Amino acid sequence: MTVAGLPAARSRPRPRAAAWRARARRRPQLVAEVVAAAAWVLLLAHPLAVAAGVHTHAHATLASWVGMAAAMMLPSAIPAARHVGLNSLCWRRHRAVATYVAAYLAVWAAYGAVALAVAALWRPPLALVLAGAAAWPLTRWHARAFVACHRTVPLRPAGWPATRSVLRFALRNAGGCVGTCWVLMLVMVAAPPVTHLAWTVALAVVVAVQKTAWRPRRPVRATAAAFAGAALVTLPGGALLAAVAAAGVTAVAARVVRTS
Amino acid sequence: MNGPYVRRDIYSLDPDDPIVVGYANAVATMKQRDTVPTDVTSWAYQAGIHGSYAPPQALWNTCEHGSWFFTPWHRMYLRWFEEIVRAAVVLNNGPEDWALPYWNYTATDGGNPVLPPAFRDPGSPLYVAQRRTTPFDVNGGDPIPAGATLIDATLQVPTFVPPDGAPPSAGFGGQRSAPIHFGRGFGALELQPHNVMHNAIGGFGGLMTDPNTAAQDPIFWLHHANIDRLWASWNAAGRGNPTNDGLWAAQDFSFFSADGGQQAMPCGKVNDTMDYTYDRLSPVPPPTGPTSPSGPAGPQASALTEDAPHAELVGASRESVTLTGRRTAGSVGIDRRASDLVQAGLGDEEDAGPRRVLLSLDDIEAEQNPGTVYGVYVNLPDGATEDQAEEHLAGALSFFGIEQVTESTTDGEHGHSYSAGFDITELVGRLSARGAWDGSNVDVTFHPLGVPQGDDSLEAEGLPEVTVGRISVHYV
Repeated sequence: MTVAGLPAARSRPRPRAAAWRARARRRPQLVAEVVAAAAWVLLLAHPLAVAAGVHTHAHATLASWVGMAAAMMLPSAIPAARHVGLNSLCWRRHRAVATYVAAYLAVWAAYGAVALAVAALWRPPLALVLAGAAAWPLTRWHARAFVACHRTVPLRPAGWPATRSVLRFALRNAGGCVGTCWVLMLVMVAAPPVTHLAWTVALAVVVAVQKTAWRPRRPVRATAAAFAGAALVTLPGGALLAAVAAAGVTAVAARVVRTS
Repeated sequence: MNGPYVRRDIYSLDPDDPIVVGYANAVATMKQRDTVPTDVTSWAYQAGIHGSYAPPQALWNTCEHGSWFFTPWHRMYLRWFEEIVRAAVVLNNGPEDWALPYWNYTATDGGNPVLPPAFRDPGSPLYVAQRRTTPFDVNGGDPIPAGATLIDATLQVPTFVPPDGAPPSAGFGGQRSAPIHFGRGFGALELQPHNVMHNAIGGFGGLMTDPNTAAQDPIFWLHHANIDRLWASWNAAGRGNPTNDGLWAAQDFSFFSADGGQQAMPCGKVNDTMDYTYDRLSPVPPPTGPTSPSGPAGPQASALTEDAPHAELVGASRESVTLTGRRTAGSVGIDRRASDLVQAGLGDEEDAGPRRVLLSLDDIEAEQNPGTVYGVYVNLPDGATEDQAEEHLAGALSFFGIEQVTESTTDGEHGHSYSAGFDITELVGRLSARGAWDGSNVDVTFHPLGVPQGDDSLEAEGLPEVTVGRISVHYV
């Protein structure tokens, strides 16, 4: 049954290539998934090279940073990329999502340029960064940025207005992501290169859970407590201090989880 | 007696019927209990479960809106409220088999769009002054405009959850989601007539317009009994709930029973364990588009498979539309290339082609709900009469809950833009037959219901503005 007034479709066997194109159109977020997967392949294949990138002042520094952002942050933006894809006309869908991904990573690159310039002058101690990662989610600036992460803007159908609206959405969305996760990314300039891969995996999971959880308050607070614990461990003589503080941190975390 | 209790049409009962009088007296009794703020059987406590501006108490502010939990949560809410009211009715020597009446306001379904007389009597506990006065006076006995009471397009929706990629309103029950106080995934039933009637009754600043005050108006419960009856009608026509999806079926919600104890019930049991029936269900028109693969009588699969119906955007507006309370128009150009691709085979079926046409209104933003209810008309010619306009009516747009949807809540839920939408499949068929649909451009007119066609004056002065960010058309 088709809708009265709309022409019925031509009934014909579909060539294989066209079938693949149709299938790709039905996966609106495809470009974002491919870019995130490629970043992970690169990271897993050359973990130390990528890590060294952010620890040297070579031209590869910013590229490494963007690669890490693509691996850590982009998976959490796949729902937003899907939103762009679903709300774009099917023939320009992948172009729209590619525009979104490029703008999203450009915002992270802009932040990276500033962060790396500062790190070149003064590399913050890991304990300080982790303490910041624990404290930041408790602020109202974090809450405001978190809302911006999920707000949409009207996406236009075609031409430059369509591209401009996707850029506007990406800037708002990525701006919110930087606003919520900027301290977390500093772990990458503060942590020893050999630990980068482990940090990347852990932080990617944290970010994805926080941003895609339907009720994010609980995981946000639980990870804040975990970062506070990690900050203590990384202090000089931290193991001893951590042993003393562990009970306290656990008690606080349990209380936070219970009351949230 | 433990049921089944029979919920009756309020218009089948005289104003002095024991069921109506029993309800009025029970409301008075429950309001007397408001002096003890912790009494869970008081009027204010029961209303606070839906939403409140007062300091929260146990189970307050737990209503579920904008997701597929809208219908089961409110069914349970009514069921335990009804038990509490029945106990109060019996306390006042009323009938032991008392059940909540419903208000069927849809004239084409044999209903009456005038607020029932007992609720308009200023001397009755059922009367509330904070209801709409303009452009129609609800307490004055003006009928709710027909556009706000439409049910056919909603009842025609074939599935509980929307097809893959479709706007949430393409599903009868709403978007698949975790429990959420105010989501953006309004299903067809929640949008119309539910949201629309809330605002049609409440107007600007009225109790029914705001989710945090709505349940304080005694008509809230009769309105929701009717919404529940429409859900039961849709189910009775063989269209299933997502009972085989654990996220829906296993989710339970808690309420207080008449003895003050907490009761929890999972959504999957909500149809089996209810202790009431309706004196009449509404006839349900045949569904638009394809039915579920398991056939109309089988349980509806909500899992999205490769074979599941799939929606595609075929056109969107180039500009936002600002609604100020007067007639305003926008337009959507149907993109030829997208439309051709869709028609050449949306799915992989041999006879693929659009089966449903959806009109979606997205990225709706407002600081405050103006209470206005707009008729949304497709390809409405200039100078159309009331009768002509009715032929172009897609549905009604209201903004019930917009303040809550767009704010991040205390639970840390995300803020979203507000959305609405309509299944316009039947309308497109009718317009095509009359040469009023050319498939290339769709004009969409917003006209405040209750203001005569041809009158483009403001509904009222000083109402908050609303921006509809985008109007779009999808084919399924």
